[in-house]
This record gives sequence, C-alpha cells and structure tokens, in this order.
Amino acid sequence: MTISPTRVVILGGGTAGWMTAASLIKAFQPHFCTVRLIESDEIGIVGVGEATLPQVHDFNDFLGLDEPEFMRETNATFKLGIDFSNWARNGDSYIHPFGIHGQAINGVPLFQYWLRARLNGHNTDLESYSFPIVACRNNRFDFPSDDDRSVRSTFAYAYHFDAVLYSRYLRKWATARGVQRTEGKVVDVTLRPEDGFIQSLTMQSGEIIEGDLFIDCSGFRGVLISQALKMGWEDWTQWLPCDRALAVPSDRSEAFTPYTRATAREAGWTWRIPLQHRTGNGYVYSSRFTTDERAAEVLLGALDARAQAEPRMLKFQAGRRQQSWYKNCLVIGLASGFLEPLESTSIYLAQIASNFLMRLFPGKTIDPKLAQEYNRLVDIEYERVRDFLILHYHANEKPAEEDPTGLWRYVREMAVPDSLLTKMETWRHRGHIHRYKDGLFAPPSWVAVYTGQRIFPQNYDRQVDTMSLEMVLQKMAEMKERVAVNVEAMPTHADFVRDYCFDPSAKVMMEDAQ
Amino acid sequence: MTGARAELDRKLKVVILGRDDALWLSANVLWRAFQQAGLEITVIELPSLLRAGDVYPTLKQQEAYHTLIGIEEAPMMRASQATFSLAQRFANFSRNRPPFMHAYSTYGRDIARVPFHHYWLKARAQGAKAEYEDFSVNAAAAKAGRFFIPGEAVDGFANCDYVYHLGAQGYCHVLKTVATQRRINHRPGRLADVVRDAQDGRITALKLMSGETVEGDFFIDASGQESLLLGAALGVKTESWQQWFPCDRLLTTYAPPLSPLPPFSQISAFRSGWVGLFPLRDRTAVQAAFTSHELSAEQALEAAHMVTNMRLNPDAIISPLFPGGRQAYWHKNCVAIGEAGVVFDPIDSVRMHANILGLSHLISLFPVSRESMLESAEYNRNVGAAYERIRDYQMCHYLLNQRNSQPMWDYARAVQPPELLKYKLELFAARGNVVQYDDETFEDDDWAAMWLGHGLFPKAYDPLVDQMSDAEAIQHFQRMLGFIRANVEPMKPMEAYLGMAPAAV
Repeated sequence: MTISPTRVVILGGGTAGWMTAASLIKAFQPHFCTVRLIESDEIGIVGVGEATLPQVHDFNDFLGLDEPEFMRETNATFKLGIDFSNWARNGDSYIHPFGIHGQAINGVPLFQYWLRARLNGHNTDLESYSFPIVACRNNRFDFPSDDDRSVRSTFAYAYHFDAVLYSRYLRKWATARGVQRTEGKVVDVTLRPEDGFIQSLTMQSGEIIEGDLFIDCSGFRGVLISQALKMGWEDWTQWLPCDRALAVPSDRSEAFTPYTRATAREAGWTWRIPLQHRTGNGYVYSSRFTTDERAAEVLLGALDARAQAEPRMLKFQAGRRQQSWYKNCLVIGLASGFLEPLESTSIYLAQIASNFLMRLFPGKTIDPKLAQEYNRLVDIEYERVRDFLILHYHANEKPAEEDPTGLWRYVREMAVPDSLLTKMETWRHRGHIHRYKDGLFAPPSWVAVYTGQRIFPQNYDRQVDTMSLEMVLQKMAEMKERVAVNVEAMPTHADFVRDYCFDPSAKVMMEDAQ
Repeated sequence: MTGARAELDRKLKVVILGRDDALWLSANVLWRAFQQAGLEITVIELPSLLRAGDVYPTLKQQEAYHTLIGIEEAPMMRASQATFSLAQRFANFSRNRPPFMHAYSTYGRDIARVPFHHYWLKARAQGAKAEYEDFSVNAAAAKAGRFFIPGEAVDGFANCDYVYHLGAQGYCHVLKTVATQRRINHRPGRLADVVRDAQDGRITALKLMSGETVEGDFFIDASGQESLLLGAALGVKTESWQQWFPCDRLLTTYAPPLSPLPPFSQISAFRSGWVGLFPLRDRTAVQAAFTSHELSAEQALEAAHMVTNMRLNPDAIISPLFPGGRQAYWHKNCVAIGEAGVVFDPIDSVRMHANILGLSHLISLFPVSRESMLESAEYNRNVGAAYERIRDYQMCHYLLNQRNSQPMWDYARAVQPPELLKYKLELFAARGNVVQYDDETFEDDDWAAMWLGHGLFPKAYDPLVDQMSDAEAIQHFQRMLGFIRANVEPMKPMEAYLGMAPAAV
C-alpha cells in the first residue's frame, strides 16, 4: 500500500516558520511528509528575538548545525545570562545567569547557606558565588566543563544572533533538504464547507496551494488562525501593559558582553544585545504611559554608540491564542502568543512548539485529542513564562521620583495571578521553590530574580542548620575563591569569539582585541 | 528579624507518635536529615499491630532511603527475611489475555526519538508474536527465574531497578534498632489525650496513659489508620476513594516458602477480588483484597486457597479497607506520615513509597519557625497531587479489567475515572501518548506496560514509525531481544544473591 505524504504548508518565513520547516524536514522522510513554506519578500520580518536561551542548542544539534559556521553566518556571540539594571530601584543591577549560584552542599543549594549567613548579619554578595555571573561581570567566556564536580560545569550558554540572518541560514539549510519555498502573498483562504478545515490558500499569482496541515507562522497578523479561522486571543495586558517596541541597531561599542542587558526605563525597558558586527537595541514600552516621540528619545539616549538607522516600531498585545491548534491549523511563533522578550523566550517558545508538533504529529487524519494535548502543553509553557515576566515588573520599590510615568506604581499595585502569588509567598517565607516538570523556569532562575529585585526570604531551609555558622561561612568563602580563580583563567569573550567563530566583516572586533 | 532571633526561633521540639513502618522510618529519616539542626526529637511508640507473616513490598525508591538512613542492605534483608523482586506479575485480569509483567525496568529503546512501544504496536498489528514484556530485561530475567543486580552490563540498554519484599516485623526491628543506636529519645506509650492551644487550636502536648505529658512544637502523626492526631484530634476528614476501588476488605496470612524463590510478586484476580503472593525467605506472604458484598471471611480464605493452591495459615486477619486521602496532610502543626494521612488500595505495593514520599517533601519543607507554618499549603499541594497520581495508576488495574459478567469487575469497568486520569487514558487510547503531570511517581514505561498488559491498545501509533522499513524495524527488535537473551542467560537464581543454598531441583 502506498500512502501519499502528508502535505504541510507553512505560512510565514520568519524565525518561527523556518525553525518549524527545518525541524519537520529533518524529522520526516519525503515519502511521509512534504513541507512547503510560503513567504513574501514584501512583508517584513520581525527580527526582535535576537537573544536566546540554552535550549537552542538542542534545536541546532537536532539539525546537526556546525556551531562555528552557524555563529559566523548569523554574526553570533555567546550569552551567559541577562543583566537587569534599574529594576527594583534605579542603580540596582543583577544577573540572571544560565546556571546556579555556587555548588550545592550536602544536596542543598548554596543560596540557602547564603540566606542563613545573611540572616545572621553576614551580608555577602550572592553573585560572587555564581560562576556564570562572575564570568559575565568580567566579560569572559569559555565552554562548560563535562566534569560535574567542577564549578566550571555549573552553567549553560546561549547565543545572541541576528534573527534575520538565522532565518536565512535555516532557509538555506531547509531548502537544500527538500523544503519547497514559494514566494508570494496569500490573498485568500478556502475552508472546506463540511468541517471548516483549511482546504487551500490562494496566492496573488492565482496559484492555489492545497495542504493537509497548515502552520500559521505569519506573526502578529495570524492570517490563518485569526483572520480565516477566527480563533480568539486571551489578553494579558492587565499584567504586562507594554504594547509597543522601537528597535534600532547601533555600532559595536567597547563593551563586548557575554550577556544581554535589560534596563528598566520610565515606561518599560530597553534591551541591548551585542552581536559581532553591531549592537541590537530596543525599547519595549506601554503607550498608556508614554508617547512614541518620548520613547524614541529615551531609546536613542540610551545607546552607547552611533545609531545605524531610524528606530522601527512594532505594536503588539501581550497574551496568547485561545487554542494554538484548531482544526488542521497550528500556530507557531508570535501569532500563538506574545510575551515581550524580557527573558529571551520567543525562539524557545517556537522551538518547543515544533517539538510538541513532532511528538504529536497527526498524519493525514487529525485526531482532535492530539490538538487538545498540544494546546495543553503549549498553555503550560506560556503561563509559566508569563508569571516569571510579571514578577520582574511587580517586584519594584521605585519611589515617585524614579517613576515619572506611573507605570511602576501600576505594576507594583496590580493584582497578580494566583499562581504567582503562591510562589512568592512560599519564597518569602523560607526561600522554597517548587520544581515543576514542564516549562521554564527552573529554581535558580527564580532565585536570581527574587534576590535581584529585593524580595528576600525571612528564613532558610532547615537542612542548612546541620552545619555550624562558622563552617557555613568558611564553605562559602571557599566557593567564592574557587569561582574567582576559575574565572580568572578564562579567555575574554572578545578573544573567544575571534578565535572560534569570527565573521571577518566584523572589523571592529579586531581593533577591540588589540 | 535579627540573626539571634532567627537562630533562637529555629529550636523546635518534634514529637513523633505512631507505630511500625511509618513511625520508625519517620524517626530515622528526620534524625538523619536534622540531627545537628537544633531539633529535639521525641518518639512515642504505640503498640505494634504487626503479625508474623506481614509483608512490606516496596517500590524502587526504597533503596535510596536505606542509604540515607545508613542501613546496610544485606544484614537488613537477612533480619527481615527479605527477597528482591524484579517485577510484579498480573494474572487473570482478563478472560482471554495472558498474564503480564509490570517490570521495574525500561522496555525496549527509543528509535529515532520515538518511544519503543509505538514500534511494538505496529509490529503487533502486523501479527508479530513478541510480547511487550519480552523487551524488558527485568521481565525476561523474572520469567527465567533469575536475578541480577543492575549494573554496567545493561546500563547502555535499559534502566533497571529492583524492589524488596520485606518481612514487616523484622524490618521494623531493624529500623528500631538503628534508631535506638542513634540514641533517638523514645518510649513506648499509649495516647490518653491531646492538648490543644485554646486560641489557635494547634497541638501543644500529648498526654500519655502513664500520666506523662509530652510537649512539642511540631507533631508527626504516624499512628496508621487510627490517625490519632490529624484525624481524631484535629478533625481533618478523609475523602473517600472507594468509588474507584471495589475491594473493601484485606485478608493477610502466609503460606510456606517457595523454592526456588521467584524474583517477582504475583497478583491474581478472581471473581471477588485478587490475591497477592510475596515471596519471603521463610514463608510466602499472602494478601487478598476482596469485596465483602460477595464473600465472608471464611469464603475469602477459601478463595485465596483456591487461587494460590497453597497451604495457607488459617489464622488469617481480615481488616477493613477504605482507600482515601485526608483533606490535608499537614494541618496546623501536625503532619501525617503513612496511613494516618492516606490509605491506598494494596495493589501496586505503594504503601512504603507513600511513607517516603511524605517524608522527602517534609524534609525539604520542614518548618523553620514555631510561629508560622506556611509550608503546609505547599506541602499539601505537592503531596496531595503525588498521592492522587499514584491512586490514578492503581485505579487502572480495576478500570481496565476484562473479567466480563462478574459483578464486582463489571462495576469496576463502568466507573467514571477522575478527570486527569480520564484524559491520560484517552490520549493513550488515541495515539499511544503517555501524558505525565507534575508530581508523578510512575514513569512513562510503567504506565505503558500496565496499560498494554491490560489490553488497552491505542487506536493509532505515532506515524513516524512508518518511516522505518519493516525489515529495519525487525532488525532493531532482534538486536534488542538478542541483547536481553545474552544478558539473562548467565544470570543466577536469587538464592545466590541472598547467601542461601541453591534450591533443590
């Protein structure tokens, strides 16, 4: 018996579209599934998701990408975490690392020992025990060690890259392996009269493209899921009031950081993402609390080098699609949910969605149970990221003089979801964080943000009491020393990138390195 | 809070009231975790309810706790007449399906990132004869009457574990001896009264029959089904799970030892319940769960005899069986460990696991202050969810039976499962996907093995399987079977691992 392949049609050639196309073509053989991607040269690609999470390794490894080549092609740099400046109060700064704060002692995380010391008046800097944070503060980079006893194994890394170049790179990779690319605009969507499934897309050229499964990666507009299938949107702006972003590239500057910087501003926050050849910048803000003109002024004023273009504006609404898989249409990327890139989650969310799709791939006849499970899994991911983002806003102590627009007072006083409230209570009481099975983020991430935003537990894990306070202080001092010595031995981020994956067109790097 | 105040507030008097497994595990685990942490632990030991021949079958996590407590395996096993077990065999749950093994190991290996059972389902649909359990090292060893200590030989292929059948009296004696050696403050006693704070209702002291009063800040109720503190004194109610578990009586007795010792336990269904056989060194422990609507005590013993065809000790004990969990497992300043908080149906042998599950959550949330025990909310959420996921797993044995036209089993098949389980079953039935929630005890392979064993075959398998040619799939299968055969062949009978003489053939 010959079975005709399942025809997958992807609409939209941004990062989400090409990541999905690449995964499918890698996982499936041509007799089983064909992949066609429609993109229009006229429709711009939203290239804001330039900072990633360590999970992107799994994706690149699954495809079998060569790391130095991929980094050269996308002007990538390494990322060990995110620096959050001015969040709880102006002048504050903390790093959310891709790793832990020191190594566990007797199976209990080091920060619990730190809490005990702190409650006894020994107010040491939690960051000084974290290998990835100290590496960030010194602009160092090296690969993690395989030896899990070593402090050099206590972190993971991700990348900063140019999302437009990454899409192009994946496009080249995927089309070489059989993804059929069609250039043009979709002007009409035809639904099957009997069940409302999508039957075909009509192109401006008149061509009609049929398919079994349609994946909407068309971004904010949601051409299939929203315009054609009318699937609703769950609005989260009451918790995440930012609804606009201005983005602008600038010349590479002195600071070649192995981390992203997210700086709280009067009506939102600005990002700073160092690439090999330039720096990506942007300002995410709430139009309720500022004007576009003022926002542009704030963004340009925050640059540490010459702007390379006029700021480009994006409008959005925080929230998620009520169902990300409906009938024979799945939505991956921004049309599935929008969460501002404060924790660099957009590429992760597209990646995890395409993983779920591969695990639940329907074949030609679609069992609605698969869609139900897909939606359940996607919802868990979005909700967990949402709560974590809300925490960044909510946990601020900005007095009126640091809050000219009133945004920070609003987010401090707003009611947060119960799921977050419960987490915060347990944390405040004794620093406990429940490790959940699915979704971001793991306990060390919560530790970084809570402590970095001045929310401290009133107590600590009792298991720490099995050691005398003197011994605790001594162990902590040893950890700090071990971190410092090991970071000292690392190359600088600039040197490492130059030797490993340097794109020769990024001339500034050479000057930096000398 | 100042440092001095913080440290002072952490002095805590802990009183553990209870008996047997829950009491002695709690005492040892807490002592081990917090011995130097400013805790003053007092153990009040109620009279034991154990009888000769009682057994504690465990799950695979038990071993790690012995390591934590500092109990050596071999002497502990000798003292409790214990044996190892690689699997549990389920028989007669269907009129026309063969018995199956729920093995404590993985089954087959993923191929191209697709779980093995999808490949097996396709092969089965095409008429392949190999049973799912043929792809488990543990099941193959168990069927061959062999035992092994999982190690490097199988590591790359499978994750293998074992569980124990522990003679209950001997095991509790070991736990108590260890506790006594640690000089854990303990005394025998009987509870006369519970003194509670007039204002906030928390427990402040226990009055014993001897007239003694034991004061405390934090109380652990390990009193078993009586639930003397959490249930009786604090009034925390039970939520019954009986609608899902049709057996309401448990018979316990024993039979002569089996020789050679089977490296597995067996659960055999019969018209009005099931009979479990758990090999020990000096006897064979027998548990039978049944419904009192159909059988009297005498009839139950007779049925157990018929099913096992073994000479049973006629002095059997019949106890009521009411599965259910408390509305809270930690209320005010009292935590229930074991059956004082949750009573499980005896199927799947989860009782010991429930003890250590409660304890491990208690360690990570042990109250840090006398004044406010906000940890209870988090504890109840997590432990409550964990217990319910275990309950859902157990329930499937009843729900999926195929003993048609027998009233108890017909009832069990018709019961509406709880929502979360219903969803799991639907997903597996649709496409073989194993849904896992937070706080699960049983892993993907446990669920799949149990479902497939009971004959829940998915309507469809992952279509990715079709990407592999049948010839290639057969090669994979043969390699796996060959590997298992080659590893099982040189294994020895369990007696060799227990320092016992080989069984006479």
